[in-house]
Amino acid sequence: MILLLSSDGDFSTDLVIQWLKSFGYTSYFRLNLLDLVEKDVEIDPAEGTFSLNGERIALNTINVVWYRRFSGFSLSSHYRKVKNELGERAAELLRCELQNISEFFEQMLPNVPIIGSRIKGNTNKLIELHTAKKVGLNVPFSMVLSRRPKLLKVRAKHPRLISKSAYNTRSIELEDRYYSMFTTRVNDNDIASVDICFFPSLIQEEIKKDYEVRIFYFLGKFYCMAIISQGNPQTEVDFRKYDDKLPNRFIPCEIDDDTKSKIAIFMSEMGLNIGSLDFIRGTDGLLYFLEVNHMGQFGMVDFPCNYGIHRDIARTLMEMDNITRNEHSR
Amino acid sequence: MSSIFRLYPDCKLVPGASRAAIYDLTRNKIHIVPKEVAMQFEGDCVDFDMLSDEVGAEYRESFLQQELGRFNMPPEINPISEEYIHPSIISNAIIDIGKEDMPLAKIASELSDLLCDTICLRFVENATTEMVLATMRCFMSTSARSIELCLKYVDGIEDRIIEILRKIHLCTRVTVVRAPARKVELIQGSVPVRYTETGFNCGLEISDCDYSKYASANLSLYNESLHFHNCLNRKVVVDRYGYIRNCPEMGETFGNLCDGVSLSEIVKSEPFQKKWRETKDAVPHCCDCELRYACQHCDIVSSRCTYNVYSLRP
Repeated sequence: MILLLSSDGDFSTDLVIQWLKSFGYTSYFRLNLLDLVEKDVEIDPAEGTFSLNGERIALNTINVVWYRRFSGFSLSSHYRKVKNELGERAAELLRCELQNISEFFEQMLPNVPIIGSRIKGNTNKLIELHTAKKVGLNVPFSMVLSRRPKLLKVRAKHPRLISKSAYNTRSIELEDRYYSMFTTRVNDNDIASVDICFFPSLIQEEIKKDYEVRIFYFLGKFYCMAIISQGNPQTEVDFRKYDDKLPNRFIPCEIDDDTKSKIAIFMSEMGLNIGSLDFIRGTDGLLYFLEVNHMGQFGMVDFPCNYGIHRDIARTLMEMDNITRNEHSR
Repeated sequence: MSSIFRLYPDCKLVPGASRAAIYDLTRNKIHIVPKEVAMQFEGDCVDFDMLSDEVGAEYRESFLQQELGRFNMPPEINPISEEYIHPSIISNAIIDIGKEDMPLAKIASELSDLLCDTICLRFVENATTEMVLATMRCFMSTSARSIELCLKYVDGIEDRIIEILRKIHLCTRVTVVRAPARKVELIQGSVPVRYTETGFNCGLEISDCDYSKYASANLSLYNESLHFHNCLNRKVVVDRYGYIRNCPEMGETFGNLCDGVSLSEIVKSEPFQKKWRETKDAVPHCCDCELRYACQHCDIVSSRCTYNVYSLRP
């Protein structure tokens, strides 16, 4: 059986399940994280079984797991309610409780192939840069700094700098407005106005880009997409500042075999078998690694490039399920 | 610099009888180009130097400004696959509801097995709000992501629609036919309610030749149109008497659900799917039209199309 660990309303999971159904495949079970909160759940850790609304699943019947956004509690109404009534610390405590319960599914299945991972998935951008460099990928000059004189020194060598978050992009709510952490240029005014000592910040050299590349990596397969954003000042530095009137072009592209094998080593060193990698194709023709996102939105690669990624994932899950089942029956 | 200009893979040249169009499938724009420019294209490349100075300069400027492609396209940019990728056997269904008894639960269950994502319920007789709600609820727990509603105009229909939309969140579009005046309103912020003076029509009403009204340049429709009839493909209609059809406007029927036939078996059958594969390339008039892969106007009612593909100039 295929176990899909997901969240309610995740479109990619919905679509992969549609493909499974269209292939006539019924041997799957979808568990959304909030099911654990909202439905009648029973987990027997000693026996290795769980049941949801009375439907009992023995973990030893699961042959492959797709770990796809098994999260979302902190965005739920349950979290908000506890936060409002008992405060943020209580809500966080419940989040941790649920996290431990959810990790049970991953840790109880050590011999089952798992696509994606919560435990290995939260990678660190600095480690990513270090590993990318180690396996031979090009990385932009990057430095975490906290003193203005050092920043000036770096600027003298790399006139075009950007600042980006070291942690995952998150939005913050301040006085009913949402603020997102986008990658931004560090200009003269920023440097003039920053304190001599500032909060440690990740500074990177801005690569003059021809276009951006997003690569969806899935068990050794590469689905590459060029993002043509250079002509648009709004999306020039960070394509996520979407321009609805003049959308960037997301078009298929190829990368060389040498880079592919380096990426495969990189992913293996990071413990990832699925993820979206961001690169820049510099005007010098080189590909520069920026970061990897283990939960990457591959729909944004699949639909504009018409790769059929969701169908491929469904087929792969079915194959893996069948292979493992046959091994067991031998 | 090379004088060869290559279109981006999401920009497609589609020739017609008297002119051509470049579909910008990302930005949903259609750029009309004269035949003399279209004829200079080899695949997705054009050499502006082969055109007269004036025309070459005009279209070089225009293509660059619209960002339809570039000179020196990086060789690693790949074409987009022209496969039409869709998991459903039926993607949209029209169910007519009259006074007759219909096996709604059976239809809902079969449409779910066929992975149908859009269901249009057309109430061909005046129906009470309770009846509309009860019918819609039959389709709530199916594969459908959206339910469209088609109602006959009665006084006070606005309030009834508001009540329905408040209760059925899957409802994404409402059409009111035989209304006193034509208008479009947004209800609950996002659900368009379209009032029309005409009766129940399948698809689009074509009364003039403004192509921008019914042409849409997007990859999914483009690829579907290359291989299939872009209105009939993966569509099924059950009329008020239970007869299964390809389209409400088409006379041919394929069995009656009230006789116990299986919707699933019928729609998977060769005779039912035959029409799906008739692309507009095979339809007179449409085959010469540069909008054929962007226009969902149905050729079944093509007499209503007044877009003259043989005489228009940009």
